[in-house]
Amino acid sequence: MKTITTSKRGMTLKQKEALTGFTFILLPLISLVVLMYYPIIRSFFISFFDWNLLQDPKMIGIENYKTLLGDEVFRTSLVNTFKWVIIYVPMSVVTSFLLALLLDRKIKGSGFFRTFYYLPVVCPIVCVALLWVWIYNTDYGILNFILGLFGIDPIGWLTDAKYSLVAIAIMSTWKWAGYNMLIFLSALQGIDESLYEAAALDGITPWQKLRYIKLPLIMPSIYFVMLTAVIDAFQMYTEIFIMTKGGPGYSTYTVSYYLWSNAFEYNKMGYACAMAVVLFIIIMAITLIQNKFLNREYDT
Amino acid sequence: MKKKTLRKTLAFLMTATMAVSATGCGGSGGDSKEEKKPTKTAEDTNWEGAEKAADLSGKVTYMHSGDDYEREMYANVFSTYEQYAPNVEVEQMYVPSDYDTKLQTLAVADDLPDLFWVGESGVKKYKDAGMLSELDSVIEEYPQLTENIIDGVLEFGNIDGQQVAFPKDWTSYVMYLNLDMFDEAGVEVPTNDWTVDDYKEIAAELTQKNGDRTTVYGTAINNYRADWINWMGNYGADWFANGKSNLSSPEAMEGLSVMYDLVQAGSAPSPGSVSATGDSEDRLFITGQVAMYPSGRWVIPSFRSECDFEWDAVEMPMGTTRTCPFICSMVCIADTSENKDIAANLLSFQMSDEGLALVMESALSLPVYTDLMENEDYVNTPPSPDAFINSAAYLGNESQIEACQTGKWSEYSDIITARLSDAFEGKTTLEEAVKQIDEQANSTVFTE
Repeated sequence: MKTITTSKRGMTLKQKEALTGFTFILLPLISLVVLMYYPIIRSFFISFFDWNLLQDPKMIGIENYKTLLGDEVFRTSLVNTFKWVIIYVPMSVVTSFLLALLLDRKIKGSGFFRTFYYLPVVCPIVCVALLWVWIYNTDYGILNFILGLFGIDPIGWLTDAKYSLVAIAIMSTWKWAGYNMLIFLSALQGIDESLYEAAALDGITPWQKLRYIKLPLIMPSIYFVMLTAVIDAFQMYTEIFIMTKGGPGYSTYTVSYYLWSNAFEYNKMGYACAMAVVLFIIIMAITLIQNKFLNREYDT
Repeated sequence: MKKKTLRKTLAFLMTATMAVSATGCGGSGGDSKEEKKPTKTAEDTNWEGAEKAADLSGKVTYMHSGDDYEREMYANVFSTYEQYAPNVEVEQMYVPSDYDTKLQTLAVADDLPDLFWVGESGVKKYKDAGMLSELDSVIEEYPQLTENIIDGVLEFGNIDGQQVAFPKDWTSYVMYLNLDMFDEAGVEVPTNDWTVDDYKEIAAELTQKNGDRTTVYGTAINNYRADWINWMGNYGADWFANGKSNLSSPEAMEGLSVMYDLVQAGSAPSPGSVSATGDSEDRLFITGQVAMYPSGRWVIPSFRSECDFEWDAVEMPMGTTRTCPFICSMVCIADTSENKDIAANLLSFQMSDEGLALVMESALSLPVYTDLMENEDYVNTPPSPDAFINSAAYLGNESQIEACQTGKWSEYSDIITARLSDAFEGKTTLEEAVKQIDEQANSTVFTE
């Protein structure tokens, strides 16, 4: 005989548990729909309008997209964004991975080092960016001072278009490496010790251990880190806003920065939304490509 | 506590916390009110609106930007106004940053404050959006508003023949001098009749080097609208005409080349190199790294409190003529305001001798009235007031008014900043930069 427990209000235990569960997820779900999905869908529609926020939007079809094609600053911003992704993502992922490898040992004070490397992650980005602005100062910055000791002439880290993106990438790597390091570290520490022991019996070298045991087994984590790093890199804005305001010239304009300027400085919300849609498509396409190649690697 | 009860309690707490947070987001940002001061009457003032103020009742909201010091300053203006209008409550909405975004958000939400500030270049945009109430009737009701007003200042708030914004003050653009440096270098201090050639020569003389490194710059330039308008205007340039950018005109080029030449000669740091320090040109002046610094009156409070050397100000050096850029926040009344009578009365008080006295003491800006410009209570020292008084005679120019009234100044300004930055950093020549500015602005911004 099947026994169903009911409360005074006539709800089964299962129903009550489901209700509690739904209560927990309801608010985050509403937040997600209202603050994320609705704006995404709405911005797609707005991209077909000429809207300055203050007056009624005017339907202009694909005019914003046509304008984007001929917009030199947008093209420059797009090129800079790709440059940024190419510079920053490998720099950040490799640094995080190397740090994780270094800390994946039974050494004294490993807890201290983990905290030490993670500390920049919890520092506010505004403080970190301003700190690095001083480090990069052409005349008084410590970096140029150190280079000067080796007879190297002062470099305009943030004022010379050749170096500015690289300089910001170094700062961002310093700031965020600790976060990805933790993900790699937890993946490395999740590898079964018996695999190392078995490999040791076969006389495996440290390089072979990395190549044939560690890398394949932490591939899901590498995939995750690469994916999020690329998505974050395409949306880079804060560092530019604080450190260079897109300058010198347009040399550090990124799509996100130009998009923000159009939306909130020039009141061209429709045009900014068209940029957001293009950026969305680019990120989606790259994510799918990454998914196809990286995901396949560890599935097999 | 049983597990189920605990989960329910947690879920309830989460819901309550989020609800409370959401409620918090909707706060008006208004300031708590100070203690009421004793009532004042029309007999205590020469302000023409005092009698009417006593009969008014209701509440108005006044939104403004600025720093904390200005917040206190305007709180004082409002509480003094409430002494004349005891049945009126003024709610102060102080927005320290992202002011335009906040204003636009309130406009979209149809929740505009009764009175608010708009920069001189933003008036057209808000007028076109139907946000601004006309002020011609206010000026008619309170004639003191325009008595002795400086020529030309009203034009910036006059769109298509209708006054929709009122200049609450203005700021001159002058050259601040570190007198101790002149003394040490044995260089004669310039007077108001100096020229651009004198300026370049003195800047070079005051520049100090230690090997290859410059330790003190003779002067500094700002890649900022006030500098561009000043220098181009000093050569009589029509840098914006017939709805198009015209920076490549010979006069505009000549004006901008003053800034360019100073950077090329090493007498001024490039603006990019200064901003890359996270610092600003006025800090370089305060810390004794720049001997002459062009800026507005807004720097005076910090110079007074922080400069540990003798300093003064003279007019900007003369080119073929002189132009002073008009930099100002204008006061507007919302078209949707339900208390326009009170808003107009408050505006009239703010612009009265008494209202302005409460603001001008700070030396952040200047009164828009010629009689008050001569009064040392309103244009106080240091520095010497002459440079400020004289510059009222050549305030603003047609190009600035026309460019501002396109409603597209921000976009135009960003193009100029970016392209001139390339020139100042040596990436392009000035000729190339101004050509690019005109091409880009006229093909993407001023397309009609």
